[in-house]
Amino acid sequence: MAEQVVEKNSEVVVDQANSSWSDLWKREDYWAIWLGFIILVIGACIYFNHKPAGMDEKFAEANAVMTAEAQRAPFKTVAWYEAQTSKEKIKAKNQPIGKNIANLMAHPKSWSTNPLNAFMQTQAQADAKNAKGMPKYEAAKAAAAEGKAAALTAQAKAEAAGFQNAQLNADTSNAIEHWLKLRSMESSAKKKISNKPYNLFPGLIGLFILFSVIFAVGMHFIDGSSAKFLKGFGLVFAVGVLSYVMSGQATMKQYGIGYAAWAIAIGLIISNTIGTPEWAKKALQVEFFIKTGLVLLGAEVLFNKIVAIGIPGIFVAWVVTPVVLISTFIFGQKVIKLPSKTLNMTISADMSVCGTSAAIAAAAACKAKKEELTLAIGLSLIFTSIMMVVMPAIIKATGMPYILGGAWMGGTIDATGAVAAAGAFLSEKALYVAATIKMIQNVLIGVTAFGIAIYWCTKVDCVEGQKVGAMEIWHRFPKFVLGFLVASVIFSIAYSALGSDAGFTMIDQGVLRGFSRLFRGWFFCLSFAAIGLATNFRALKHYFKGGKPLILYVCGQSLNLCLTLGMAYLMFYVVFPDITSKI
Amino acid sequence: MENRSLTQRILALVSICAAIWVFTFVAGPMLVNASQDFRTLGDFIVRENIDTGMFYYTDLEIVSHADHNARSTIEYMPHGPGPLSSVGSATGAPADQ
Repeated sequence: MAEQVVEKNSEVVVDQANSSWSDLWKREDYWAIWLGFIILVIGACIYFNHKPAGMDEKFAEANAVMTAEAQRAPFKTVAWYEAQTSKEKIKAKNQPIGKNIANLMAHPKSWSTNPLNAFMQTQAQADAKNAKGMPKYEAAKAAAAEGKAAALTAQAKAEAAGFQNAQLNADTSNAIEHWLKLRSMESSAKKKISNKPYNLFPGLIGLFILFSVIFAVGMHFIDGSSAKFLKGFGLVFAVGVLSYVMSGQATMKQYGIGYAAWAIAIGLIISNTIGTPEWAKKALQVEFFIKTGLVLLGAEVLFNKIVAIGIPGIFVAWVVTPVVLISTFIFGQKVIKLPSKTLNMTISADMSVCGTSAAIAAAAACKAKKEELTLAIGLSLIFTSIMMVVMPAIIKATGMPYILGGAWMGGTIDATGAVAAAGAFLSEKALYVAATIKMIQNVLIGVTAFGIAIYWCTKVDCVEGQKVGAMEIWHRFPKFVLGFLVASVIFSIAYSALGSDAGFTMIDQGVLRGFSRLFRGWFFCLSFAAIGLATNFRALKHYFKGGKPLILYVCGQSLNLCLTLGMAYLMFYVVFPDITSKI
Repeated sequence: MENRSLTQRILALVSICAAIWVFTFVAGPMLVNASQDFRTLGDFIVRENIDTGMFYYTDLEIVSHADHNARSTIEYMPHGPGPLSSVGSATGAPADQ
């Protein structure tokens, strides 16, 4: 195919419509894949060589208890829950090497009034906090012990009746649920007396050096600009650190304003007041940071997770979501007539799938502009904060069953953190359902990104009526999406091969949460900082004209709310009430 | 931006920082306290240290707990002998509140 010279537009990710072997070490997409996979391989090597001792025997013992208890009683018994908890505690990342990695990669922590607490805590401060929390812990521990005794007593009575007495069974279930609540409170109280001293400054300096090297190597091969990149990276990293600091503040947590929003905001403030200095501009590698982060995110897209809550979860998360996504996109094109297709797709994915992570994947796949991603995330943030407060209130006020309410919130509130907070606030059951539904939606990102990329290559980035051949699709296809998908497939297969227990311990709670996720979080933070530093307010202004993005979001979310509630009711209460009764 | 002097730009930066400070320590908490529902949820979030700004399931331990519980329920679903029930619940348990 004849070579085409294409000017790189710094506002979007642009693929040249040709390919060559040198792309493998010269193109940003491929460097995102190499860096992402190197990190994943290192993580896998670390954790698969540090298997928790006696893991398999402990699983077998716990599973035997759960099997026996499941056969013995028509409800989850005390022994069932204790066996389940003993399995859950086996996490690869809880081993010494995992804790060391977490400490080295730590971002600034929570704080309330003194921002320095985000970076440092002395032994004296830790001891003071522990002493303060001790009375509450002692009380919570005693209450949990009493609750367990009461649950065991009720269970014994139910068992004495051969589990044939519905009232005794119901009393036992209530007593067990009460004990679980008290146990959860004991666990929360225990965290408040487990404070340790910390000093994040050496770790942050180390991370700065590590990330500088990682991306400078890539920049050297991509366009030879590693020296210029290194000059400006300090500013990007500093904005990233500051955004973590702000997101850890207590009031910000209450509003659900996370590091992504803060990174964009701080970057925007700097670029639109004192101005982003020229020497920093080469470090604003938005696409490079995002694509590398997305390849790492791919490994977290574990397809095994979609069956976590059975068929009801699949229908609520994987049937409703694509319907809402496609309907909203078509609505945005045909009715609202949004001028930008890429903005339409980014907002539609953001609102229907799972917020910021879906917006990132969709924006990268359809080559949306930085300003469009910023706008989509901003809209999501505003409505997440509102829905996180309003939806639990509606659920309580209407007397909606909490499992139904949890499914409703899980399928509609954008940010997983906000979903977890809203669900946990209602009840543990609501949390389980809400968080699991959201997790299943998170996994949909893989399919969404691939679908959007294919659609854009074949239908959008071409002349109307033009037939696009396979090679042309290959030339145009954003290659980092392949890395994203391959990572997802490899880790999903590995998870499946290990089995659900070992997969959870070694992959979910090892390689991913204990290693690659830490890098992914930082890379996304850097990309949002770069977006903010590179964006002019004037560039954002015209997107607000007519309020079309807001109208699109509101209409799409309204459809999402109605369909999700309807499907959740159908699945959890009409088609699969047995699953619901056991949750 | 290019037409403004350095002094003006620095003043703009300081003003925005001041506004953020006011929202973080004054207006934000006031708004939370204005609504009982928001207050209760806000206290809960701070007490349980839930990171509401996190956007992927692997960012939150509480989701891991929910996932593990849901999966265990499906894999080891209780099916022991119980009273017959028209609601589908062998326990005859009350509504899932």
